Amino acid sequence: MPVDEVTVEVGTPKGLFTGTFPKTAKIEDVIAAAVDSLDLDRGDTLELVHDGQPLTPVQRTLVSFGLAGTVQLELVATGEGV
Amino acid sequence: MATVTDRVFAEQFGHLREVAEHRGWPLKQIDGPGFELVLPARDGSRFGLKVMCDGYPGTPPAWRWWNPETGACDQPADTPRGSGYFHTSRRICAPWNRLAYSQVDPHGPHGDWQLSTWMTNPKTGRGTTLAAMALRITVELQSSRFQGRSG
Repeated sequence: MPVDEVTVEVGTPKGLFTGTFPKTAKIEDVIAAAVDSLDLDRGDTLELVHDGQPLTPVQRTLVSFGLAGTVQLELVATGEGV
Repeated sequence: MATVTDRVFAEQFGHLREVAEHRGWPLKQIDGPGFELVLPARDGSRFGLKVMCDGYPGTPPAWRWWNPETGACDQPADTPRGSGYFHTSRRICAPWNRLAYSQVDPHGPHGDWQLSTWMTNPKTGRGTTLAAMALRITVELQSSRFQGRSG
């Protein structure tokens, strides 16, 4: 895989989403791709998480979070419990 | 004839299985319908859950901390602490957990929620599928909020 690309393997509410993005892609672009691919409910209440840490703000790029190669992420609703 | 519960469970369990198999999480379907699931925590340990889905999605699943070796449920040593979801009552505190409702479980922390409106409870958010619920628990176990076991 080219070093300027990142492959994401995302656990989502509707199963697994896999995609390869430029390392300069924004987090919001990855969320949008997963939402489109799996026909998830749209909205601004979903966030990507890596190793328990939310990838926010979503305008930041994949590489700015140190993501490289193939990474496993979770797509979850925002929030920290009730 | 398949019931609504059968159909919804089959579809959503399939999504959960897809994620679990990819991540290497042990997952087994059981009668009820329901399932047993083991999830990894930030400290390298694992937590088991036994989940009963009878009546789903009319009522939310019952998520119970479970020891895969002994089969015991709700034991302090098998229950995580530290997140807002990991209530001191040893119940997962979310509208998508049937055991969070005090009218269902005397240990349930919430008497102010209505079971019949769990899907539209603002605190449910997008936690309306089995995979979404499991992913939320996983994120909490992996986060800096996780503080080990209750006992």
